[in-house]
Amino acid sequence: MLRFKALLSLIAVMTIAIMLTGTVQAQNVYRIGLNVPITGGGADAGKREVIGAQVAVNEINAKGGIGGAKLEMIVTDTGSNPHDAVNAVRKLAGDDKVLAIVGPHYSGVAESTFPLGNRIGIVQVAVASSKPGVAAANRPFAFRNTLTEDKIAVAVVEAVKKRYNPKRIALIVDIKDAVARAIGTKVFPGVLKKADLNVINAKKPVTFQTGDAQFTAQVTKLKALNPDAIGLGALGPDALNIITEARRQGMKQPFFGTAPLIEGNIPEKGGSAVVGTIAGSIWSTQLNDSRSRAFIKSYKELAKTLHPGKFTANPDYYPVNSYDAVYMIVDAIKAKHIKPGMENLATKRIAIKDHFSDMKSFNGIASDGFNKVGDGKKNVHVFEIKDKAWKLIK
Amino acid sequence: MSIYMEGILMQMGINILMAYSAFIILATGQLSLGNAGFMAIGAFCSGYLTVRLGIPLPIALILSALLSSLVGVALGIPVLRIRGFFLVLGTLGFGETVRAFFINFEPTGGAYGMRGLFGTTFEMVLLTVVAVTIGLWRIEQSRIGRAFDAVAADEDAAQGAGVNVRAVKVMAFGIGAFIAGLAGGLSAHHLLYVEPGHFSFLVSAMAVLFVILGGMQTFWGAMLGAVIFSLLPEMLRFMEDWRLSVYGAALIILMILRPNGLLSRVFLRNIAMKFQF
Amino acid sequence: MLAQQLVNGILLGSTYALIALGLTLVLGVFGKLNIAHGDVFMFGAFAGVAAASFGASLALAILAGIFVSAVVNVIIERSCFYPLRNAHFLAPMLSTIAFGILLQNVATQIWGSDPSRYPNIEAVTQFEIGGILLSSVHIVILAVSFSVMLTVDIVIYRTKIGRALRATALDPEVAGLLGVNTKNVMFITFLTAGALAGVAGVLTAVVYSQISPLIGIRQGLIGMVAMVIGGLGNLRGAMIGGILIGLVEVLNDAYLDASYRDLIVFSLFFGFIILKPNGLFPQPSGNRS
Repeated sequence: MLRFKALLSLIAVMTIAIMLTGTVQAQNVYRIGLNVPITGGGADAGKREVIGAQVAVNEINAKGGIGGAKLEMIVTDTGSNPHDAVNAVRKLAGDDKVLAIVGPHYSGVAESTFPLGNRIGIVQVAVASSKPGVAAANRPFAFRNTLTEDKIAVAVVEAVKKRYNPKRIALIVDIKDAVARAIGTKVFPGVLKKADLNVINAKKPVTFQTGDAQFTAQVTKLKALNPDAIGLGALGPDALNIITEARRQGMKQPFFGTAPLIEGNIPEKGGSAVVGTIAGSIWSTQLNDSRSRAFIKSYKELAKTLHPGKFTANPDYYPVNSYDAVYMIVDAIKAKHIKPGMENLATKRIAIKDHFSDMKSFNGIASDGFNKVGDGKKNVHVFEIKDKAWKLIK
Repeated sequence: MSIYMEGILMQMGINILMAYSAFIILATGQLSLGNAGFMAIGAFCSGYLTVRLGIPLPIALILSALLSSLVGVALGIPVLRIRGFFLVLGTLGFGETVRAFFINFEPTGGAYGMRGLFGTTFEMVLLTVVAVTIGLWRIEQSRIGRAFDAVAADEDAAQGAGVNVRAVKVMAFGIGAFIAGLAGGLSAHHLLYVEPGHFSFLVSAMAVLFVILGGMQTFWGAMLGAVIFSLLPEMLRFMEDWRLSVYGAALIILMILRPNGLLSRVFLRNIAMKFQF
Repeated sequence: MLAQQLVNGILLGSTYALIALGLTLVLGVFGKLNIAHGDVFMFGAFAGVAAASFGASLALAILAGIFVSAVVNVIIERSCFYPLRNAHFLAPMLSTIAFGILLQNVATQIWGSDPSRYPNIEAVTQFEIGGILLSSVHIVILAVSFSVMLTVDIVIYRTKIGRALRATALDPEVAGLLGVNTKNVMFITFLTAGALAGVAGVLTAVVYSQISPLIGIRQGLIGMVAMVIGGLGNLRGAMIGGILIGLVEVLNDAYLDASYRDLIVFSLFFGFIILKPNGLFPQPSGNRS
């Protein structure tokens, strides 16, 4: 009997605890949500995104908030999986009554949170997601503050041509990760063909799976093809392993890829193996404009106290995306004269959505608004690895 | 009810169904660590029916669960001859093979998955859970339930007493697969998207874990295990980045404290007596 | 290219063999399946990388991996297997699943979710033997894995401890009656299984160059596949099974497509269990399942 009562009380307590997690309603406050991974495979990137967004929130509040009212950001954990992420969106939109949400991270997660956001009627600005078509399939409330890979690929291929003048290109593609796969099978073949480069294995690229433990089979195959340069449809860590194995097997050809390569600290970790690799991205700590410099400084300062650690100390383009996203929402609030507080939530959220739909340009650190399917517009910067770092190619 | 609470309860309901699917198989002395495979079949099939063929969700759910059930029976037959860890690993292998199959199956999107699913409501999940609960309760009270118990306790004795052991064991897989198929269809139309990555071995393992933690003698144990361990990760949100570590540790500790689970038949009978059921 | 790919397959397979060996030791001697074995491997890999980043040599890094994995495995024995020895026969195995979740998340907290790299594996020399290319790294891995496997084989089949282990696997009661200290055997078995996972972990980190907290999941699964194909509970079978799976994966990637890899491997897994559960090398002794 005691056990029975204990169990019932336990369940009751847990249910009440969850119900109480909704935050207190407040009047003179603008509330937004940040839904990114704090646990799971994306934890490091997610924590950096938290810091980047918080830098923006702190800056805005230091200047007196928006029309005198404070900006409040509620952070939830997507757990790097769609179940937790969906629960988090419901919490943010339903209980916490936020105006808009920055996040999620990962296309796989966005595929569930985006349609949910449409049903609820709340804008989500993904910080990282480049699987083709995700925002396009989820109009009108889904936006991705990321750049689609084809623009980056065009710039990269141009740089590769100039630098190496290759005749024969071989491709190696990750068939598991949606983004890497799209880069290798949909983006690069077309872009390379347009640039008059011959892809010798376009129909049957060399394939692998994300996070594979070794690449001896794949590299042996690449070597047998004898290309002049190799295109990578791969995420950063896998790219690094592929290039390392290639050098081990005696291959000297250069490698190139797009944005995912910029992640994973390839220059620092790769040593001499990776020198000469070319990739492109929307931002890097190399850029010298004043706003980037200011952001890097504020970020590093905040990173000492918020989620401190080796993997969050330095920013990459994810926190820049979350920083810009916060400012975009603030921009929408101001432009649409949205009043603080929790009333008329539906109308306010629609107003924000309208503003985002019309955001053809934006003066962000690395964000220039959205195109008509909700994907981000940004500048592309091409880099080559030299002296243990990504050096900007002018 | 807040949409947050609603979402949690819906996922809890789906977890309860998965726990039931693991339970009914355990009730015959067998074990499946591959129920995520049945869940996948239910999910992809129902998704295909609703998104590509425009069939209403309830019908799509039933049809897919039936397909899953057929596959369950097809699996139940060859596994009749294996026991112990072979059974564990065999069902595990089955689940992984199903997942790998869908990675290559283009009509449901392959590795990219399928979009456009919608329609799971709180009422639908509630109704399904209630219906399956009643079903399991009826089975438990009936001759079939007693046959299940007999087979779980001692197959040879049961055979001797006239129970068609083979039929009982295969039936358990069929029923378990049906319930898992329902769970898969409901889940996919709740997450509004489906991809093979949603049906990993961990999903199968958690279903079994819920049952063992809740008490595997009765299906109420499966329900209890699913309820508590669906609430726990949400409740632990305040732990931020330690959330999942604490979750894992909590599971281990609970197993040590209550190795036979939280509920047992004797316990429930005592409760029933107290309330004069 | 075929000869090179065969060598590649053996290289990959040797790490699988070590993992399968560790799993089989515990399964064979105690009839218990440790589903967190892959995560024990992962933890050892991280320990090795951490040691190397403080300047340790490869040998020291391997020792660090051995030590950490062995300790973790013993902790698993104390938290998941010993307390649940009288519960439902599956309970310990399920508890190890939870332990795996714990290990993955603790590793993420300590070392981060972004991949960690084994430092300084730059200085590599190439050797060419009859048209087949091998780097010094590859040679070291082959040498270490095969010597470990050989050592285990010798210990199990030619020493007193090995006899005690095999006796306990066959029949713990009788073994106890005959004077085998079954408690010690348990401790040594888990320690050794952990150590093997640790070696595999560090070697993989060196070949892979990078590791993340999630790499244990697939490695553990493949270890189980190798174990089944070799014959459940059969140590030599586990080693051969590991090498075979390595070959299957590499040949698939070389001549087919990586998308078919899981389908082929897990269909083989399932097929063997249903049709040939005693694996390729059914052994009359030492089989406890």
